[in-house]
Amino acid sequence: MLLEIKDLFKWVNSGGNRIFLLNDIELTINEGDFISIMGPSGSGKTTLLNIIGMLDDFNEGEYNFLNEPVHTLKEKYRANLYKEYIGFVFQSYHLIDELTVYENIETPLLYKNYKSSERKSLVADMLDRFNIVGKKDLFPSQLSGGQQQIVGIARALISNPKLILADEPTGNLNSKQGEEIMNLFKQLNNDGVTIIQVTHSEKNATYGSRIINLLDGMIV
Amino acid sequence: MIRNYFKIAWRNLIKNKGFSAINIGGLSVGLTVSIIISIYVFNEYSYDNFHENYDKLYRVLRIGGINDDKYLIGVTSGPFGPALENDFSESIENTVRVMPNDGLVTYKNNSFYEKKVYLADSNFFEIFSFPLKEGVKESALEKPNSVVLTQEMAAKYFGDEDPMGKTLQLDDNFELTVTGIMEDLPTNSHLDFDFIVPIAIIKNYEWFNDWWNNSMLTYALIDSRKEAKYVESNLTGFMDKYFAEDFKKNDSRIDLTLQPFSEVYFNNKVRYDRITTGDNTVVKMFLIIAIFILLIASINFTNLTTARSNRRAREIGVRKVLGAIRSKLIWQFFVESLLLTSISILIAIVLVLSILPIFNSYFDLQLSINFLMPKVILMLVAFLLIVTLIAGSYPALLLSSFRPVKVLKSSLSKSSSSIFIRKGLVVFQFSVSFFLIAGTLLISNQLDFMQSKDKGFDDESVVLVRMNNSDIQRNAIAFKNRLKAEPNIISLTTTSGAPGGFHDTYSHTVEQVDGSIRLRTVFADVDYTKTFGLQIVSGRDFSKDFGTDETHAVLINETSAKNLGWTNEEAIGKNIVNTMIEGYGTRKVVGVVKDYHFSSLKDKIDPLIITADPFSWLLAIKVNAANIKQAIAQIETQWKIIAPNYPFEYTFLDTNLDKLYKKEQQESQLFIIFSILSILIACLGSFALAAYSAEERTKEVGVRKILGSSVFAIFLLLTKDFVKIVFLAIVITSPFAYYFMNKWLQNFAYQVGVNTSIFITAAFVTVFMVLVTVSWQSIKASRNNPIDSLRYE
Ligand SMILES: Nc1ncnc2c1ncn2[C@@H]1O[C@H](COP(=O)(O)OP(=O)(O)OP(=O)(O)O)[C@@H](O)[C@H]1O
Ligand SMILES: [Mg+2]
Repeated sequence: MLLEIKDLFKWVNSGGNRIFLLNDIELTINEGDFISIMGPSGSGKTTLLNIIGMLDDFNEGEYNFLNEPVHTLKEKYRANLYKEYIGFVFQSYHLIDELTVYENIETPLLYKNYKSSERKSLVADMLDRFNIVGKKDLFPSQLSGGQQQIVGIARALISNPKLILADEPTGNLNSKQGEEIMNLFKQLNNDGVTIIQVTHSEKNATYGSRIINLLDGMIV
Repeated sequence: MIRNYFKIAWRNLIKNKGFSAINIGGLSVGLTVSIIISIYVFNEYSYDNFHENYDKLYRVLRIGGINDDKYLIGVTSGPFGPALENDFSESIENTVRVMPNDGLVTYKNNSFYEKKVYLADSNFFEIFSFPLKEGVKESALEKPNSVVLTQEMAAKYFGDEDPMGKTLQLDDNFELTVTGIMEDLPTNSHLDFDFIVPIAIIKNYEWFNDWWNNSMLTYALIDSRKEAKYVESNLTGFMDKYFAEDFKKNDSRIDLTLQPFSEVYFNNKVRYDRITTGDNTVVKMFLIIAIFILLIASINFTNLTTARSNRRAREIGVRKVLGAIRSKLIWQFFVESLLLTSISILIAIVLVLSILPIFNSYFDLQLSINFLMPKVILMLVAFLLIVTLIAGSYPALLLSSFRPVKVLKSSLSKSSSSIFIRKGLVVFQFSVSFFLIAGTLLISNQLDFMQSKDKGFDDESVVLVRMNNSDIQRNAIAFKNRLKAEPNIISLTTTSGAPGGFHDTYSHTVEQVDGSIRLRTVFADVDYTKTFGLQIVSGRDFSKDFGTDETHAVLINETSAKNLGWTNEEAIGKNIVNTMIEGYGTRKVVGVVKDYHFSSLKDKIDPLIITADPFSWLLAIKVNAANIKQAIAQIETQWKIIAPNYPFEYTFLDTNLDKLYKKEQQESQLFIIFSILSILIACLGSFALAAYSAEERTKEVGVRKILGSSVFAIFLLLTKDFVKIVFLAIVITSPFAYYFMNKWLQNFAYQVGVNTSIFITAAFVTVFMVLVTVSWQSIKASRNNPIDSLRYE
């Protein structure tokens, strides 16, 4: 078991009313899973993904990640945890504009205090693996959307995470580019990486092994 | 990691050229001002500290007084030094007397009237650390007829010849052999001289051994503070021992005190010493201005960075998601401000190097800087770190606190706390600018006031000629008579001091008044009041017609009469005796002159007595204003007839008087420069802030226009905030400004007063400047076609 969520609630207070963003979520994810979260806009998919990624808090419930009780951990320790085990992929790529492809991929290693020589070889491997060696000195603005997302995935993978969280990774891509990305995920999953993706596309959801449907913050 | 930080910082800097230019521009100007002021401050505080005996040296001061007002007097007489050394032989290691003087110096056919010829005891070079290039410091002044001169003077008189052993003539009575050459004086010495002559050459004059003939500076070398304290506590006894009789006779006493060497330069209240002094208040004031200007520039960085923060927000969110902990982000932002500050410092160094010479020549200073000196490098590093910290802290803390979940959503809600702080900082910037502008106005008002105030005497077309040689002195009467015969000369008088110049203080006893009274004095010809256009308010002027005026008559001013308890009329006919001058006799008050400002308008008018006595060596000549040139030519012609071997030199009374305010004038010019710079830097920041806010509100402006808002309404909308901020700054600052202005005015006995027009003008200037800068952006934004701005949404 990779992670386990029990009786999780998240709400916001608005004008005296409590609005539930997530309502009594119960979820277990095992290593090697490829999960697709689906649901209409505003149903809480991003919120759930952010909580799993430890970027966001929740109000009630338990969340255990690799048997660590995330809900009781201090901010700093939590950051260490996700730094170690989780890679993020975003719909709008979120590459850093001021950095080249090479530097974008390298950044997580800097924050994990890898030595310069180690960084070099790891980034080189990654560039190789995704066939973007020729693009390493380009800036994000010089790449197509699909290429940017590939860099985003490479960056998420560089620190060798157990879990990849992807929020609509193909949302900004055309269908051919999207297919490419999904094949990439499939392959990663085959190599043992756990993947949780949010998607609106039925077709993309079929790449996964399990689908979780959300509606108004509840799993249906 | 650090390299990576610098790389990103550099790319950000290049990418946002406008932002970088405004920040670097403001910071480099701010740093330039700060570095120049620091050089100036360092120089001021380093005065005299090159002397090895700096900590052991004391100057002997007298404590005198005009009646109840006590003040310090810098000069002492010949006997003090040896007597102190003798009476305190256990404590005082050594004393040295220094007598600032001037004289005519001649080598072969070359004569110059030198203003900086010092006479000093032979141990001068042992006690003070003025290094000799040639000669031996222990023995250079041993023989009375020797002279040590600066390198510059050696070149002036001897050119390429070797000066050592050559003979210079001083006035017409001394032949001096050159026994030493000094390196040119350090600029930070309160003793400022070109020649040192052994004081022994005047030892045999009667006046030299007179306790009351105060014409020299006496310094004592004392090993420890404790010993100095001991000496000081016994000085009352010392004075009683030597002065008991005189104190009784004058019915007033004088005391002595020791002034540590470190206090000599900054105590500019000490009277009658002709040494270089500085004003600690002014130094501190400029230091504060430097800090403020640097703060204004730093605030620009802080504000512009936080105003742009949402552009960086996404990057920060991503970095955090990629595992950056907060401290690393803080570092990253500090590196960015460090880079910006470093570039600004480099530019500032170039600016300082190019401005300093202009600054020096304009303000008559000799500041210099060597950017390779460890002390200077340390200072620059300090500036670098301080500015980086001040400018970079808030942005680093604010930006690094962004939470990824929030900022990775497309739209970032503006944090109200950062807007509040930003506005607060802008208020501070304009408060300082407003303060400086108001201060500038006050200073120049006060200067105008002093220079245009009726001084009570006529300073126009009065030529001053010092009768500084024995030829002219022997023939003074003939010289004066010849001048009087010249058509362009209206009137002339000898005087012990012209208005604005030297007016010694003496004790007097007065009939029917108990005790003695201290009065400022003038000794002058009977034409004194005529030459300076003084008004007689009661009694009569001096006159030759009475024959006995030069031995029996005095005039007093209204203040004297008042202090003595008389009306102007009652004063006439009263008897006055100067108890300190032998053979003064008893004189009668024949008239009262209307009070006039015989000293700077910084001081109040003291009681004054004018004694008719023709034996002074300063000649004041009132000439025909229409023919000043001819008049001076005529004076020179007469001079050449009577004293052909001596150079003729003259000054104008009004220019001398202007010099009394030279310091204030310089301060006011510096104030003007600094206040202009401060407001420019502040406006630079507002310009950029206005640009950001106009940009942020593009959509709002577009919508409002579509809804029918006029261009002017939009302009108001965008400008209103800044104007509010400036008004707030003015309201907050005014009470402080009022307080400090009044405090500054306390330095002047006659004050222009802090009036509301200063505040109104300063407020107007500040608001105007801000409006001009901000309008630029507002007008641009309000005239945009709304369709253009909405299309991008
Ligand atoms: N801080 C917040 N305060 C109030 N409501 C919030 C907050 N964050 C999210 N929401 C609301 O929570 C709900 C779930 O948002 P979330 O972003 O998780 O939806 P989503 O399923 O990812 O939708 P989409 O498919 O459009 O991305 C939405 O209705 C949103 O308005
Ligand atoms: Mg979403």
